[in-house]
Amino acid sequence: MTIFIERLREIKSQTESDNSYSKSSEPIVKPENESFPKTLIVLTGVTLGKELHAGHILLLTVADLINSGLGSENSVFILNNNTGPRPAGALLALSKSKDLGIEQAATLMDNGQFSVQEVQDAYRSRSLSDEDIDSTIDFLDQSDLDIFSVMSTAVASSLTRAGYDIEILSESKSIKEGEKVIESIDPVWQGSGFIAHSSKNALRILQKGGHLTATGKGVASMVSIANKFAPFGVKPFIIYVDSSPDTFDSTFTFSALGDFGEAIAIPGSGVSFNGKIASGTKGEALTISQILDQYSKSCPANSISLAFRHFVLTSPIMIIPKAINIGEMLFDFKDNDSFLRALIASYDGALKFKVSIEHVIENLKGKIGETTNSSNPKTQKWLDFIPQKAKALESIKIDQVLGASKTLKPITSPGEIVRAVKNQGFTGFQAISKIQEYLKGQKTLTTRGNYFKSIVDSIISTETDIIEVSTNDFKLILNIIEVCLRRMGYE
Amino acid sequence: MSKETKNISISEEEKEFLLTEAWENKKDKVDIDGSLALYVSVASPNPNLFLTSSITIQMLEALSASPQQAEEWSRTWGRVVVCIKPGFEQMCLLGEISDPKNKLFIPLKTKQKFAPTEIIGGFPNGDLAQIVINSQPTTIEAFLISYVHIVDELIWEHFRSSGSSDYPGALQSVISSGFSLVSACEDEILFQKKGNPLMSLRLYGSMVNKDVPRVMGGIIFKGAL
Repeated sequence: MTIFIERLREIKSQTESDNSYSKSSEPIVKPENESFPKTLIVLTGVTLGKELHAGHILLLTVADLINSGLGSENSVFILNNNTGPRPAGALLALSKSKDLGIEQAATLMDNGQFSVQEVQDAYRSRSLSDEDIDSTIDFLDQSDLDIFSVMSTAVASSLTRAGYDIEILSESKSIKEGEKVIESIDPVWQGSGFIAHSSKNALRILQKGGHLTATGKGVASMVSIANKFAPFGVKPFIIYVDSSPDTFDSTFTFSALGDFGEAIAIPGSGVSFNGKIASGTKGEALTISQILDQYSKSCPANSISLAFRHFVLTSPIMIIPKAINIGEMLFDFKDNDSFLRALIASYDGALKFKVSIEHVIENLKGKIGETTNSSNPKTQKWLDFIPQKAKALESIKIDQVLGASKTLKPITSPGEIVRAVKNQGFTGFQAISKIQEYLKGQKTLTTRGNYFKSIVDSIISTETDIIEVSTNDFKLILNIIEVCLRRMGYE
Repeated sequence: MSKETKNISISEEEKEFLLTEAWENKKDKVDIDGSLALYVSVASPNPNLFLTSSITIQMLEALSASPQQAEEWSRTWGRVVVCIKPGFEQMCLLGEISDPKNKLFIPLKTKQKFAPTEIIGGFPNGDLAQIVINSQPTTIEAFLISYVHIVDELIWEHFRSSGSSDYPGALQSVISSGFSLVSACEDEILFQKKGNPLMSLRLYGSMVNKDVPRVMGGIIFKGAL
């Protein structure tokens, strides 16, 4: 008797050659040093079922700093996440409260027929355990309706008033255009309802059960945005500012596809109150309107983007060491009032920063002479390379700017830690406990790096060492300062 | 064995009785969450005889490689994870659920359905038993969950019927003697069970995958045919 398993092996080898099985091909990964003309696209994603809150503005500010740092001529793009479980929950809640069918409610929402308050109420009262949630998710995935269109318009208006240059894109429309690309990534799996991207030891699932996953939506959106905003024949470089693991997966996959451009994920920073992340849904964090109302009582309303920029560049970020989720990089405060005080102080800080630069320029003017020299050998070395530094700024590389924005400088001095905790609004036993956590290394306070600010800071700190500066070097220093301030958005 | 060629006569009450009876018959197994899973990783979503044959080989090899673990896996109702792994390699692996290495396996969830009947023609006729698998159109992962469970059922029932404590021996016997594979709808399977009490049914209890039929199939040992 032939052993059964041997007979199976025979069948396997007979059918192997003519069956449709074929191993999925490894993705083509673009060589790192391949160069091509680039269009820069800075992107972030927000679910606009509610008004933006402080955490969103901080995320947007990180994106805004990168956008100006790279000298991009585009606005910062905000991807309005209007598909998936949470928007579906909001649509269901609104359809029930208005006694409308899902499709009818979605169409009216897309047309902006409901008020901001009605949409926000629906979003806040959403339930993900509704029996119709799965079919509503399916409906939203397959339609290209923007159920948060009214909120999108309101948010765009608030952000413009606050001084941000943004463009809001609908995720439902974007993924519709990019989904075909996802489907064609792997011919073996095409049409199966399951598409994965395999690379080295990682698998990234793009479609599951016929629906795009969060990673798949990210890739589809970026493909659509690349097609829409990059000139014909030009591949974009997308910087996706977000801390979710899905964003890191989608930017990796987008780049690995090779045909559409490159993308990189940069973590944002949120806001927390006493270590607990502040959410807008439950109302813990102030909304952009509330912040604007309060802020404009003591500062010009259109200066708020400058205040946020200075806040992001100078305020300490709390990090929990070995945190799995890199999204756990938070600006921690006692409460909303403390946050608001720090924001207003940041506006003052930005003004003082500008004034100190003016002083430096005035002082240097008084030191103009035949040569450039310093009392400090270290400063002299810096001064010796002024022409090269000025030249380098003209051809600044993307990696340098992004690398600096990912750099975190730990605060280790006890005095600085005490000052930071005080500025966060903590007092008494709570403050002592916080300080101990930082001193023992249970948590770390850091500041976010910025390529241009570090240059300006070094000019400010070394100015007193300079004995004499030549006219040419003075002009170059002025030029360096001007470029840096422009790239920081401090003009 | 299709519905057209058989005169099926079974009432709803009879079906309910048979299902309850099968559900209550624990067959010396234990109702606990086992620590092991059989990871069935596929390279393609295309169902065909090649896939069924190679999965059978890989499954039997994986169980033979660690028979003690295999017995433990089967005793705790044999958790099956149909998945993909980086590189899309097709393989079967019996492993600990808690092992971080096994986190590389990603459960598969497709949407295309096919009729199992289409892919089992040409399967060799083994001597030990006949497996009747549910012919309900289903997805590739749901089919493989049913198929692996029903092969596990065959090995376990052969082990039990031998009255010995020799699970590896029962496994080797299945490997050498083999089985034949046919498909039938749920009513047909239950009708056969009604006429042949020795037929062993395998139900899908977890209901995690909505596409797996509740009656995955049945086993008829050749002597009982």
